[in-house]
Amino acid sequence: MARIVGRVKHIKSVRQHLTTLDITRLRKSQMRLYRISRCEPDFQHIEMSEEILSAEDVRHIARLAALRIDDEEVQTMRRQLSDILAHFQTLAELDTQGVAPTGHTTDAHTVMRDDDEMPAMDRHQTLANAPFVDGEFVRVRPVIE
Amino acid sequence: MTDSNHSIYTSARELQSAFRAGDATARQIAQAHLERIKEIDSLTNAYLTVLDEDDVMSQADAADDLIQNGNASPLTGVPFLIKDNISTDGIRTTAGSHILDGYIPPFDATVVARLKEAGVVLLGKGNLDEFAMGSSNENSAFGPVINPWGDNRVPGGSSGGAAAAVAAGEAVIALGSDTGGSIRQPASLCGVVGFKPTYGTVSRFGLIAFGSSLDQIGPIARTVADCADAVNAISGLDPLDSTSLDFDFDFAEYLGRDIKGMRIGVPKEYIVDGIEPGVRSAFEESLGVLEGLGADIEETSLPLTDHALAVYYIIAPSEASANLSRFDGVKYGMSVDGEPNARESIEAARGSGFGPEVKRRILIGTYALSAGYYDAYYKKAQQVRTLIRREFQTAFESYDAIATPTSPTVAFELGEKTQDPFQMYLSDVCTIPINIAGLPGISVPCGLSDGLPVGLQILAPQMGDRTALQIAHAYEKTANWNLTPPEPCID
Repeated sequence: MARIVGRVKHIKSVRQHLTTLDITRLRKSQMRLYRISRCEPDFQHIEMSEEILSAEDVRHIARLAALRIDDEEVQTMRRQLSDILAHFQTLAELDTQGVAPTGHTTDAHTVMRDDDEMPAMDRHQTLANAPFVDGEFVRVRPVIE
Repeated sequence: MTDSNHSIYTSARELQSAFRAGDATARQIAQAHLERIKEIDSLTNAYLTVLDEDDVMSQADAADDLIQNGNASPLTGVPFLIKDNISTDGIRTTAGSHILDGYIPPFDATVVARLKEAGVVLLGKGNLDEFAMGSSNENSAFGPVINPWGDNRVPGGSSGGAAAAVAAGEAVIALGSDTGGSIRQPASLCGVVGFKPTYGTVSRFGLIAFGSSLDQIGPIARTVADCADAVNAISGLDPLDSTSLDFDFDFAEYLGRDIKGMRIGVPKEYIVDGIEPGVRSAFEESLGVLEGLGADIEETSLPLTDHALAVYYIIAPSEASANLSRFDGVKYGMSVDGEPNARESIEAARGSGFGPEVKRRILIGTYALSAGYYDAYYKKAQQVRTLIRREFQTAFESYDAIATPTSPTVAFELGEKTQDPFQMYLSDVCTIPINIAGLPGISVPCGLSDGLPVGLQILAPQMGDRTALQIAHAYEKTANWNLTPPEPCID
């Protein structure tokens, strides 16, 4: 048991030096350890999250996705996404070494069209859906401050 | 009521004979459907937009001209609903989302352009789960659709409006889209026929993209033959969709041929834990009918089925997170003013415009594609996708088709699964593998369980669409369910 505790502490201490992929693997081993630890009353003091994502992870992903979410949503998403990601772990059981990934199910190939002149939508029609328009332009808030 | 029922609970093929015989006009049929919508849509909420009567009537008159001149196609004068993630020139297209508030497409999706050429009568746009993400239609920003078969029951999703409208007599045929079951599952729950053709047979140009390698447009109708006729009209190579396939066959070609000696595999993994007993027994009875028609039914195994859900919920959200990045409130749709800079404006528009399920999937997808996690999630899922495709390919060396239940349950109650996203995802467990492998699949009604419809799903190999339709048609003719929801639909 002491060995497991030691390993958990070790995991925490080296975590900052690891790549994110390593962290995925470590999280899996943490999950395993957590499952073991749940059977052992002595281990209840170990602070270990059952959830794969932290609130900060969720905020980071939301920033990457340009999605504003409030604190309450962060907490709900953290719980739900962790749940969903936990179900994905079943794929780890399958050996996929050397298996080519499928991006497309048909033999789709690059299609080239002839470089012919074709009518384009006129400017008025194109701008008709834009919420903020200034003359011939779409108006946006400053990009560079 | 009998007369109007006769005009609304009909198939496109029946309509064509009535038109030819002079027993009905497209104008009368269109009128009957508009009346039906007025009567019942406040209860079903199947339509998000109904076209003006003048617009509908001028389409019907044009159809009557075609019929008079002997230029009618199998779809001329047939009242259609289009799922509201399919672009319609000059008609608002919402994708069930507030982020597209105010958006009016300046072009038609290829399928819509082709239906117009075929002379259909477009009635309006169908309610759906936001961006087609959902299995119950409860994720629509415009309120859920109610299943005409039961007060307080979901119609399934995401093409819930399409399926409910056809079931309730508010349209004869509807176009839906199917990324993980969104045509077949609601068709099953509403007691109508839903057909997802082979990936690539129908152009996706103008379909608001969700998971581009999975999305496919297809019909929901009251009969298998109507589905075949509808796909004939909308399918084929399209220069505007580079993934559309160049092929030439008549989807209706095998309809009416017998299925004697056909080998049909029944994978035991599709009889999932939690399948309702009534669904199971209706499915097993339908296998008996197929056997009675001379088909060889054999139990088989597709062990990777259990992994399909995980593969799907990595790949579909990953593709969605990329596809939905175009919605920024700048060029069209919802926008917010008063934010300090462009970045904040975009984050604010997306934060208030998207609903919870769409946000959830964007976040899952962004995470699965992000640096460091790509190999563990996205690439792994794509590799398992290859294994699942191979498993189907091997199965189709022994079988002409595969039969499964379409959904493990009948229509569930509103709110029953909204608190637990994963429970909701399980509703598509029998339909998702088909999109992963790009196969054709059709759901045809196979009876009732506790008064609610059950669906039989027939799968075929890629480009084996005619076989799937043939078997479904043979079953439909023999079983002869002709399910019509109780009238009035909802009390």
